[in-house]
Amino acid sequence: MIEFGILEGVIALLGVVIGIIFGALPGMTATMAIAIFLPLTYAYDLTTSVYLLLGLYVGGISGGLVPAILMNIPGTPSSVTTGFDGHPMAMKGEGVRALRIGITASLFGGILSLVVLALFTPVLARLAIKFSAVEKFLIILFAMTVIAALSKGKMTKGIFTGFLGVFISLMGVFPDNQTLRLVPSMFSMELRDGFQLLPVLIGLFAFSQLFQEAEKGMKQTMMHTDILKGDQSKKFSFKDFKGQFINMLRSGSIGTFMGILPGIGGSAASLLAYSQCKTFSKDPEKLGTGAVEGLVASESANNGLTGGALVPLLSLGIPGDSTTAVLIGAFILQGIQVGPLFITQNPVIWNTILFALLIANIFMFIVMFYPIKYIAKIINIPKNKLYPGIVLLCVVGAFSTRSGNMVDVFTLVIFGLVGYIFSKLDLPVTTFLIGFILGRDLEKYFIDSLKGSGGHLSVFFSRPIGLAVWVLILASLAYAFYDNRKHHKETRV
Amino acid sequence: MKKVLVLFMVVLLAATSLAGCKKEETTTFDGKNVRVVIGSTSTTGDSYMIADMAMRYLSKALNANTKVDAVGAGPAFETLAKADPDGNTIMMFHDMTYLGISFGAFDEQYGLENMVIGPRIGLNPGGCFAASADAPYDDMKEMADYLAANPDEIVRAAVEAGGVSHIGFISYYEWVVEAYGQDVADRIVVVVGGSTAEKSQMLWDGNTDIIFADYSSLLQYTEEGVEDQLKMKFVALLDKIDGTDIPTFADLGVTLNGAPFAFSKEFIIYLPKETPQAFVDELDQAALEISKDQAFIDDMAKQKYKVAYLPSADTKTHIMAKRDSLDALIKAAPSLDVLTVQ
Repeated sequence: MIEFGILEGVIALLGVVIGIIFGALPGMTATMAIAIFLPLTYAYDLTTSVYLLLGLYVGGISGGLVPAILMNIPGTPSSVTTGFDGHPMAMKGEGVRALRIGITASLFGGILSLVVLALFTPVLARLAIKFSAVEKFLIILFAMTVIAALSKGKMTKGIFTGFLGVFISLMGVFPDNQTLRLVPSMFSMELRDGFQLLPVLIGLFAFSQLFQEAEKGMKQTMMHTDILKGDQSKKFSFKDFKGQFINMLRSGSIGTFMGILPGIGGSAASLLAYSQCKTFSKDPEKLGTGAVEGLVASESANNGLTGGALVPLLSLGIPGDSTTAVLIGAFILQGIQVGPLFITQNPVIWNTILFALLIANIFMFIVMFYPIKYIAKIINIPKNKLYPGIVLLCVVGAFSTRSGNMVDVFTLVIFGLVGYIFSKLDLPVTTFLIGFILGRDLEKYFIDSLKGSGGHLSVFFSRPIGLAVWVLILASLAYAFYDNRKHHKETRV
Repeated sequence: MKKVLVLFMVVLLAATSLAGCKKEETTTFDGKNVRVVIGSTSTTGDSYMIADMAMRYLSKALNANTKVDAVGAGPAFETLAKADPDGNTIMMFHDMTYLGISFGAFDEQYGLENMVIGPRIGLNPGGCFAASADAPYDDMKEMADYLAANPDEIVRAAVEAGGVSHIGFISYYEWVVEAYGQDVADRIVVVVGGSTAEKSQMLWDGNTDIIFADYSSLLQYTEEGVEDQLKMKFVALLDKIDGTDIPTFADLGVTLNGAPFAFSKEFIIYLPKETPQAFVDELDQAALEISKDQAFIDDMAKQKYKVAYLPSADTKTHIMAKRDSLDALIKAAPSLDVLTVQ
């Protein structure tokens, strides 16, 4: 039994469209979209609310690929890796193709996670509980090995900026004793919660780019005309996915699985999927230069997260990510308690959620796939007209990160300068960002593991799942170092 | 002529703009946009839920457009400290407003003395401790008995540093020291936890033995049909919740300054320092009005919250006295550095 009607369909479509807009605007996220529209659901019943909120969720996660590909500005933290290959494709004149590949991979990831949610929720919820702080720490550590994988040719610099990112992420209050650390006393209130991820992200990617462009002087067009015309023979075709099925399945599964584990965010999912894509790729050196497989890995992973994050939410009452944490509020306000008895006590709502997720994914595909060629024309807007708009969006996005806090706008500018200085010193920005994204979780689960074990470091080697993750970490690092050495030898020759 | 016309238009435009900048000096919420900051960033916790529900009713009573912003404790205090006393910015928050300072997490400049205390709107009596369903004790008195009878055992309690759970824990700890002796108290150790979701997972992982959380958020895990690993039981409430027979701290004999210990989170409206009394009076009037509104009472009761209007003058006396008595408890109890697992 499913509750669905024309009104629900329209609401879901509306949610998807608004979600895409939020995801596509730098600094706006799916979480913000849901938080903003949450009060609107008071006027609706639970079914209508579910269609709206899941539409916003799927749209918000998917929209992030647009600025990541076209402007190398990730719309959301989980689309950081989308820009690695998507933007080089756009620079080669394959913007529409890259966007359509990304959208199709997103649909695949979303549907895969939906199937997993529908069929295996109770089993996976039990599995999720077996992942204690120890396993979560090791998974975050595993995701951090992407730093080594991305640092080919400049391993020392990559690792340095990665650790610098971790260090900066630890600024602010240490929650276990509420003590301020690594913050100058004059900024004790402003930086109490440290630097926020979104302003840091858009500062490093968008603002630093603007500074670099300002240094060169604004040109009247975005790119040289010959680049814009591109290689006309490379249009999107479903044949682009030839040989990508295993990659999509692996990346979608990684995304879904990371969603299932509470407390591990979407950024870690796409980072891990990207690093595994590189490990298993036949042409790893092509990743980062506009390879279809890199784009496919990133997008199927971050949309795989959507269904995955609903598994612990609906079966344990524990949100899988920050967005589903806001969704809990919607259920509570409607008088529904999500938790271990939710599925058995609310079969109609459960079926409706699955159907809403399916509809939202299909709407996302339709809404994005066809009109995208018009959206891609943004690349044709002259820089002197486009960049002021980007500055405005970034500032508004940063300001709204914590409901209007100027510190986040200053953060945006500061990290814009940091990104600019990094580019001058040839230091990789991406590895810094990865360290920043994962740093707090890495520390949290490290400390939680020690708290649970009474301070014994041997706890990290005492659990079977943990040992398996150690093997993956070591294999991933060994491959990255081998690849780096090979690259050095080749460049010397 | 054309130049004169352009000049005239520029002057007119500038004058209009400046007129728009004229500071509004009305001492009423009527027709105003009011930003309500709360000391939590979560939109699912009691701080947001109660503020949101209250503001939906208060905005009608005040004829104001209210917007609840979940900015977090630090930014909320800072916003209130810097806001003009013009009724455009207020804060609604619970006891963490003063506890954060008592525990040393925030500077004295954000103390109650530096803000105007408005009316109390509601209470959340739902603070509770829960254990796994198979724990060898059913309440926290039995827990102390269990430790007294088993000198090799310890109990780990997951609480949040510097919060209401911290207060709940140290009041219990001090009672155990008094009633059972230091040896038993020393074997109740703290594992610092974060959100309810994190603390629940710590319990399921076996990394803690009891957790502190909100009653309504844990209720589902105590029901029939929940599988063994997830199943919990309540072992104590900080205050009485209507319709439950779970022992409260007061039932167990826990006292504070000789009186039975009971702690409900009190949700109070705070205004910037120097806010004119007219605003406070208007809020008092509106808060009294909504406290009699059955729809508001029912909405709050659905989440086990209570509408508990108290006029601003009484709220001020009450909350300052509460702060002072808890300050004494905080000073007497060992710090978390001593109480945590070594």
